[in-house]
Amino acid sequence: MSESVTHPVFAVVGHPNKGKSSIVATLTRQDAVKISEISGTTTSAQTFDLNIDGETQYTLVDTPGFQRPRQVMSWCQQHAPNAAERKNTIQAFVREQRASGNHKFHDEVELLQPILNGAGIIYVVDGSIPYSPEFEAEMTILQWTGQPRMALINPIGGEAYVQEWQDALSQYFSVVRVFNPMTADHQKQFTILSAFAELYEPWRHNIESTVELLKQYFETLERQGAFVVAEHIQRILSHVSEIKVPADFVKSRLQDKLKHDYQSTLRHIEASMQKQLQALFAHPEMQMQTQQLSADYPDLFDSSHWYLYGLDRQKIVALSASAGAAAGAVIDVGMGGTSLMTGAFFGGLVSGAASLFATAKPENLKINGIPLAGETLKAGPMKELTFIFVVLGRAVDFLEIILRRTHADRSVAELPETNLTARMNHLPKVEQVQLTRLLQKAHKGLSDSELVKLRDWILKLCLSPSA
Amino acid sequence: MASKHVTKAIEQFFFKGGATRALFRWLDFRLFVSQKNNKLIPSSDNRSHSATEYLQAWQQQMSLTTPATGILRLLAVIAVLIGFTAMAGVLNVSQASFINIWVPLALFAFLPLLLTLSSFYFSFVSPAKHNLHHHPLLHWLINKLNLQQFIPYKNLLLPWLLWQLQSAAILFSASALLAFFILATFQDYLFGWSSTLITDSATMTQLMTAISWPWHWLLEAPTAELIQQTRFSAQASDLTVSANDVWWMTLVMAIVVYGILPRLLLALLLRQQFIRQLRSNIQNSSDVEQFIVAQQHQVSRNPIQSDDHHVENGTVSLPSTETVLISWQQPDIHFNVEKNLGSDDWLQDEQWLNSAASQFDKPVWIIIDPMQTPTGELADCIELLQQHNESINLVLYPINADDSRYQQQRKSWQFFAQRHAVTLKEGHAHV
Repeated sequence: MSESVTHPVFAVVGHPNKGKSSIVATLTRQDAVKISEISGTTTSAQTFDLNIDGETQYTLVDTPGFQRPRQVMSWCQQHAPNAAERKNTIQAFVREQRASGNHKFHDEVELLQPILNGAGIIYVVDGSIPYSPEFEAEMTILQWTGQPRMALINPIGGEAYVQEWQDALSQYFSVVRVFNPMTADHQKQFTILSAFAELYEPWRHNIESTVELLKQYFETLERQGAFVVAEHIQRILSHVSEIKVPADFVKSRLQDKLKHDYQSTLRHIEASMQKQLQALFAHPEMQMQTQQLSADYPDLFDSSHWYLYGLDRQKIVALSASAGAAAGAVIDVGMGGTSLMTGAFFGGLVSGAASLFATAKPENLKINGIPLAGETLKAGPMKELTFIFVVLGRAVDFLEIILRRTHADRSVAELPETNLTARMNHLPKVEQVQLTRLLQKAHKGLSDSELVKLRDWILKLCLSPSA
Repeated sequence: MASKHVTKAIEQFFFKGGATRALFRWLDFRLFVSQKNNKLIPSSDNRSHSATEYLQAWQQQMSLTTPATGILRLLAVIAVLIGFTAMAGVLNVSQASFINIWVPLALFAFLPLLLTLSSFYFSFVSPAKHNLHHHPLLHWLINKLNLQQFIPYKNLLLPWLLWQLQSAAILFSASALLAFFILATFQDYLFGWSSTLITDSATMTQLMTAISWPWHWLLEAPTAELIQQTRFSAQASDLTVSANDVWWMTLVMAIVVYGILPRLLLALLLRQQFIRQLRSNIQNSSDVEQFIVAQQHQVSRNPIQSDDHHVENGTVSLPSTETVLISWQQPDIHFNVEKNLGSDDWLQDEQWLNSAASQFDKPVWIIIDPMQTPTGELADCIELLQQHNESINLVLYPINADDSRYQQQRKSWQFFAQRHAVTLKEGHAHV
């Protein structure tokens, strides 16, 4: 193995367009590994690392596919004096191609170089097409390199020929596994990583500790993802949009505008939640198709009077009474306390009563024609239980999609019709009630400990089997 | 990420320089992460970095928010001035007579205690404690401190603001106490008591014993004798006092115990709550992880991408007598073909392609299974055939146009045919 690299390195090789890039994307959690429908798009080898806690756990090298394996084999057979010289022959081939500047074997040089540098080999084949002897040249070249190697059968289009491939591959590879990078869940990924550990004894410890770290990491991610959802649900439910209504303005027009503002803010918060989850689970390039969130309820709007400085009537009266009491107290102090705080008492009473009277008809409060008070139209906070569960259901569905999605999956994700009831039924009755009460309270704002409780329920709902 | 020592190191990074600094470093960081482009300018070395290294790089590349704390300082100065002048006013309002002990007690001990209790209620007990709409003063302060961008994180901002306000409020009582000591150093003040409702000294003695209970182990409460001696009325105020120092010490203790201590305790409680919430937010939030994932996001360099350019292919019937048929890696094909290429040794294929056997007077069709993938070796064969023959065509066979996999494979073949200047056709078995 290479002296400079301490972590395992694997070159992912194979025939063109058999899903090598998909495997690299899934096992390194990188959704920007380009996966093209067109064969031969990977033109140079590129390394992708899986990092945990700032340490690279392993590196996968995404390589171009074999283009001329029979020609390479032919050259090697002509230049290998005996079996002991096979690895040297492959090295000589790569050296000669580099020295000659010949681009004909560019792809072979790119894929062989990391192997000659010490990388283990992951040979990828397509389990949906039959095995044929044309692949033997590729497998023989890899065998000649003498590096630890395993084969992954990628059932891209089906598993019709998996058994046939297993029989053939076991002749050349010590470990053969079936692995679909599009659908592999965490457990399946751990199984493949454990197979890596079998390849080469010095890597065993590294890979086993990587699997342990990954298990902890995924658990942390799930909790953090659920916390993102909890925070955003709270933001959606407690959001209030306000608009001041001039006394002679058409209120219904303002209602439309307010409804639009309110809904677009809620959608913006939901989109921000989805973006954060995509960022957290390393799916920044994921495309979504979903119905827009709608918050159109008959009792969405509430109106109250607004006053100068944004205080409501109750607060103005209380503040005014306090100010009067304070002024009265100054008089009491001036009298050396002999008035026994009667100044404060009457000051508060008179001032409070005056402001109570003045704010009885707020629209009449004007200075130089400029209104000091009027009506405030409010949308939110949301207390409608149906909507609360719609928001929760959508968020849980999205979290589930992103938890299950592999990094090789480039399809447009669709948010299904939510079925929260089925998920809720997996919670004990007491917890259902507690969750409902917590959600009903969310419009007032939740403390950190309440957010953590909500997070745990969201995670339970998400991990429960949906209907 | 996952391990405890990393979490600890992340916390230490944010808490460098005190709790207030920690809050704004954390809120700035959360705002940065929520932006669309949250990737830092990459460093020159390609090695992977730890979470704290990435955070330090972020701090170097960003300018951190410093709240406009001038308004908080102004509030503190106002509290100091009011406290000082109020005490000076109470002590000097009438130099000739006694100072009624109820006045300074009410202003500097009981009123602050009431306000502290009300602050405690709004900070810890009120059901609307997290709702900014119920805190117009805090809303106003947020605007004045230019912290509007942090309103989405009000769960952290509110405890900090409440802590700051209580810290400023302590100054009112502290400056009143200071004013008392300064003025009492240079002036002899006499304290007494007077009341319309409390008619007998015994009730007053009981009241004073109750008020003085918190510090009775340190200083004895005003005795019945002293209370009797120091009662005065508006009509007759010329009393002789032998133990005035008990009154002023009682006043000082009342200010400390009812005015300053509860406020101090509340401020400490709020500070502790704020730090606990900040810590919990840093631990539970996914922002650090989102940030690290964004920094480690790798993009492929490979330039060729699908262009979704659809080309209509010609359809031909197989087998055809007017063409030469060659198959590619299909030894079992059920047509008569001139040669099956790609399955034997390369040298054999090359020899055949270079020989006269591969020179034809009819167009050449190379039959390919569309499920195969184009390779350089096929391109080499086409090139050799093109040296001796004018018309080389690739014929995909068998065709399953309804299969999505076929549609996908066809794109690869179209791309290959275009690249090597050959015609691509779809072959159907002649019935």
